Amino acid sequence: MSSKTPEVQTAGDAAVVSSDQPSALRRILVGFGGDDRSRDALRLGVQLAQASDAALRIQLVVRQDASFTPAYPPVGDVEDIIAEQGRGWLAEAEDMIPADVELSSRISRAASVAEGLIAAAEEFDADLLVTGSGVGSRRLTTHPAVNALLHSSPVPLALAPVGHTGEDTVSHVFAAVSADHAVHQVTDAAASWAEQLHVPVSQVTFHAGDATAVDWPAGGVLLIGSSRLAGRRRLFLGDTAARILTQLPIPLIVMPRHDTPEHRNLADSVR
Amino acid sequence: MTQTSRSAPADGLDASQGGDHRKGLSAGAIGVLGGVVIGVSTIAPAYTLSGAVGPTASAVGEHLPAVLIVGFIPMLLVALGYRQLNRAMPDSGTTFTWASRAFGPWIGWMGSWCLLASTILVLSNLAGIAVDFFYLAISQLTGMDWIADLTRNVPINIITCLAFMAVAAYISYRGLEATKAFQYVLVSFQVIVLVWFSVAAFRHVATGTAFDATQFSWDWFNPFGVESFSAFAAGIALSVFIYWGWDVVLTMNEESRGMTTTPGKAALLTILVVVGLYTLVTLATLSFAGVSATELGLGNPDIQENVFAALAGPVMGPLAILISLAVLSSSASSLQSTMISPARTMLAMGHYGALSPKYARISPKHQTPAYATIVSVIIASVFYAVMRVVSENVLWDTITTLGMMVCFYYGVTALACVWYFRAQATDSLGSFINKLLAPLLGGILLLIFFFQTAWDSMDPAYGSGSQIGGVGLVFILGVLIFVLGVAAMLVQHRRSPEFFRRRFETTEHPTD
Repeated sequence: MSSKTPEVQTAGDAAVVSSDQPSALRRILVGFGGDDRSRDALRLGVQLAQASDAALRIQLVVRQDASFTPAYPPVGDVEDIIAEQGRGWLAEAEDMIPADVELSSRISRAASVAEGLIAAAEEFDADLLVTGSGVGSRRLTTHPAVNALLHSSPVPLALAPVGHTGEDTVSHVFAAVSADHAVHQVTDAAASWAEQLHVPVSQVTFHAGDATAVDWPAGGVLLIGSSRLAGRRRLFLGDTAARILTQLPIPLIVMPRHDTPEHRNLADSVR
Repeated sequence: MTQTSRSAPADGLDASQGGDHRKGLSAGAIGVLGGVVIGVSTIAPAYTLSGAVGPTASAVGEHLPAVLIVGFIPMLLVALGYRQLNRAMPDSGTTFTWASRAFGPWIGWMGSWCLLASTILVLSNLAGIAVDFFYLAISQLTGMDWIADLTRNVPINIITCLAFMAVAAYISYRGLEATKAFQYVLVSFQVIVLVWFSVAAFRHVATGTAFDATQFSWDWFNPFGVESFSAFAAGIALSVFIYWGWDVVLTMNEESRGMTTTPGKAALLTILVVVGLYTLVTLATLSFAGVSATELGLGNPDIQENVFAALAGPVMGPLAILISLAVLSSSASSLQSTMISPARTMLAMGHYGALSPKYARISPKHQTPAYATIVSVIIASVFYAVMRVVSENVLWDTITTLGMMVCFYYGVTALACVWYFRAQATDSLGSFINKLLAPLLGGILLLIFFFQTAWDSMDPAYGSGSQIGGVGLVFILGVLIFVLGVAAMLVQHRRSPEFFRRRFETTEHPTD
């Protein structure tokens, strides 16, 4: 592991945001499942919604049975019972939300939680999807749904670290840029976020994905781009980003790749 | 300052992803073949034949094929009623929901108890068979014969069995799901190996190298040739267990499971595949081994618990490992699908207040009934451990008891169907057959076999001959399960009487 201190540089001017780049925060969707990790996500969702004045929606996805996993003897449909329980969890979730946040909540069904959240994010036209990471204090395992989202979400995905309190206001936006790509899509997104939230923006370069050497301020968030393997307008968490994720005490926001000609060629060559 | 507008959670589901589960059908769609695969995988032919051929042969001798074919009739009749109930009330808990709705909470509770008991018992049997074949497979792979005998070592056997059940419970708790490809491979493998086994057995008969070559006789197919009604009833109760599982195809709703064709077609094909396979294998086994009580004879009590373990080597030679793998994979997969069921039944009972609300607890992370899963696997483990110590023929006794229990709860459910639809039964000829005649006949037949078997099983020499104090162990088990059920029901009634006082409410759909 390299112990070289990452270079942090504060951008002088915020980049001009073109209108066709939807990196402003207007609608935030929180994937909620009633567990502790979901509560981390909810606190992060509220924190971002308050900072950006965005509308917040809480989404609970009830998983449908897979056809090829029959229960024997047949027991009928338990999804309704689970959905009812889910409504109870949603009610508890709503009680955690301060009154100044515009809030709605929904229950939907899907073959997997990740699929359900992606469908809900598209339907809500969400600019950001928030989930708990389940990663923290060096633990590597995430919820299977989070794992799937990290490799397929079409909307930016924010991961709340374990035990995220959300008490600090968002104070700083960091953009992770790699040393060999000076211009990065994440830079633009971070700049426009910082502008909307009225906070400073800095670029960070990691060496060997070592995120421990930085003194991350409370209230900071880190934006990172997807791996070059990502499909068009999709996320894909690269190796470096995955390493960073396990060490990061602040929320990590993974941005999907934009549709660029260069990327199209790469995607084709990968196929 | 933003305006605060709090919309209540949408009741039920978003219109966009609506109640219409058919969206995205292409991914999870099940055609006729898929339905058959699910049906066959649920029946788990390799496991079932291995565990039940011996006990059935001991009851009805060479009339095995006849009993297998006749035993299917009540199953079919009851399943027709099941399908009607499933369309009317697709809610969780099946027997529990339906019997409570038709006959009130007390009978509903007891019917559900029998279903729970059967599923929890069969868990231990599935895992027990898996243990035998696990050590047999290792021994065949390594060529070390002593490994196969490890299963006879009671502590090792119990520990291995509990480990298998714990793994199955964990998979079920995590909500991990079998894929389509996995099920296709598993089912094809089972069918191929069983057919192969049959062909090999016939070849031995033809070349004169069979253990006890028995000339085929049409009398094997004559159910009236069975020596007594008791023996016949015992055989039927066991064959009910053998077919236990095929009705899963009928209860697959077009809506919830994405069946692209009528489940009826898939069910019919499943029947043909399974009855054909069972007939072929039993004919081959009878021809090869006969029903004598010697060495490899199907009447030999030493091998009856697990016929394939004894016959695989002599019939298939070095390829016997395939049989072990087929039975092992079949019981493991069946263990998985059966693990889900009691947990969900308890979930439903907890939800409706028939059991403590603890059972309705759902793990938020995996959306599975965590508490109920753990309870059912603990009961199954304790049951197996105690039985393994008490009885030399634990698997045999469990199967016989299971056959009885299944007869009972199927019978009760069939009569619930008759009673529930009593007003609509005269609407049309189809309604009359499906909602009244078929389930009534099937239910009565199954209950007759149940009472006959229960009566016979008091005899200490019944079945495997396990007994306690001069009374057959199977009878004691059956009575014990009933008494426990009544006790648990009364305790629940004292704790929270609401469920027993109010009229049972559930979602009901009109059926045509």
